[in-house]
Amino acid sequence: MSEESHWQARLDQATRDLEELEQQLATDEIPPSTARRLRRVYTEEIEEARLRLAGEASVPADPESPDRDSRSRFWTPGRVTVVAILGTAAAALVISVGWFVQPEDQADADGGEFDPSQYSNETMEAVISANADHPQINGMRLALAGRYFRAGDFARAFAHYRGVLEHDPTAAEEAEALSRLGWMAWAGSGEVQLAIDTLDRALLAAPGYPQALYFKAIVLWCGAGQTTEAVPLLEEASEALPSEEALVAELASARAGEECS
Amino acid sequence: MKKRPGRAALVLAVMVAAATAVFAGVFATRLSEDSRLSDSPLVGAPSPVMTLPLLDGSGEIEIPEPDARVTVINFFASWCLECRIEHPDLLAVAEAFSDSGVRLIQIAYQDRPDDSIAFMNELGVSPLIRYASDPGSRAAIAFGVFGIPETYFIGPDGVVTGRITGPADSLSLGRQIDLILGRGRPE
Repeated sequence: MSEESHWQARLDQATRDLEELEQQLATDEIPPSTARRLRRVYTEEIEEARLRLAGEASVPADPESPDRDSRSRFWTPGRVTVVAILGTAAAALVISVGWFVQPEDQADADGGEFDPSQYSNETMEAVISANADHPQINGMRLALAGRYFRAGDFARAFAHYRGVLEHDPTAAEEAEALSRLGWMAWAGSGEVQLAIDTLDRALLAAPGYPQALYFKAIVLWCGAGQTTEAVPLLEEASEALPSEEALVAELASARAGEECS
Repeated sequence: MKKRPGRAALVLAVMVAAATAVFAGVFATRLSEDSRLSDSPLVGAPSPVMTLPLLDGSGEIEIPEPDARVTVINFFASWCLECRIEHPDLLAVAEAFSDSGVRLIQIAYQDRPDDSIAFMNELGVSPLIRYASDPGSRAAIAFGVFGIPETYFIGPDGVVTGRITGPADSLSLGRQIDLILGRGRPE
C-alpha cells in the first residue's frame, strides 16, 4: 500500500467513524462525554490525513469536471432508495450489536448517577487522575477527599480539596472544600488564623454553610479561646443541624463558659 | 414486458434489509439476555497461560502474572484510534493500583513492534505496565480477541473474571478490579 493510499484509507475510515458517531449520539447509544472524546480523536485523524494527503497526493479533481457529472447521473432516485434501505438495515445491525457490546460499567461511568460507595479509593484516584482537567469530576474529588478527611489522612485530603478549588467549583463545592481545608489548617497544623480566614472564605462562598459555622466555632473556642464569639456560631450551626448531638452538647458547654475539652 | 430500471435492485434491497433487521433483532435480543460478560466464553474459565516477548525485546512475560492479585490484559495497536482514548485511563489505573498487586499488560495486536513502541512513546509509558508483542497472534487467538481495544481481567486464581470491549475508562477498569479485590466500600 502506497503512502497516499494509506492516508486515504485512514481518512475514509475516520470519516466513516465520525458519521457513525453522530448517529450513535443522536440515538442516545453513547453518552455525550464519550462522543466528545471520540469526536476529537476522529477529527484529529481526519485533519492529519488531509494534511498528509495535501502534501503527498495529487491535486483533487476539478469539481466542475465531467467526472462530477457522471457521479450525479449515478444517483438516480431508485439507487438512492436502495442505498437508503440498505443503510437503514446496516444501521439497525450496528446499533443492535453496539448496544449489546456496550459495557454496563462504561455506561454507568459516563451517564449514570455516581455512587461513590461502589468504588475503592484507588478507582477514584484513577478516575480523577485520568480526568484531571474536568470540573465535572469535582463530585468525585470531594467524595474521595472526604474519605481521607474522615480517616485523618489530611495530606491526601488536602490535595483533592485543592483540586476542587482549582477546577471551577460550584458555591457548595467551594464551601465544602474550604471548610475542610480550614479545619485541617487548625487540627492538622495548629494554624488558628489561617483556619479562621479559610472558614470565612467558605462562609463567603456559601453564607450560613453549617459545617463552616461549626468548624469556625470550634476553632474560635478551642484554638483561640474565644468562647463568647463561638456561641452564636454554634447556635446557628445547631439550628441547621439539630440532630447533631455532639454539636448540641458543645453549644451547652460553650454557653456555660466552659473550656473546650 | 420491459421491467422498470432498478426494480429488481429495489426488491433485492428490501429482502436484504429485512433479513438484516431480523438478524439484528435476534442477535440483540438473544445475547442481551445474559450479562455483558457472556459474549466471551473465556469469562469464568481459566486464563490462557503463555509466555510472550516484551515489546522492546528485553525479555519475556508470563500471562497471567504469577504474583499478581489481578492481571489486566489490554490488547491495543498503534493504528487503533480508540486505543488512544483509553490510554490515559490505563496509565492512571496502573498508578492508582500499583500498591494493590494489580499488574497491567498491554499486548500489541497485529502491529509492527516499531509502530507499537512509537505509539507508546508518543502517548506515554508507565514503568508499572508491561508491554508485550504477540507473534503469530497467539495471545489474541487464545483470548478470542474480536476487535481492539479489548481488556481482560484475571483474578488471583487465574480465572478470567471480566472483559471490556471498546475503549475502557478508569471507572469501569477500577470497578472490575475492585470486584476482584473485594473492594467497593460503604460510605
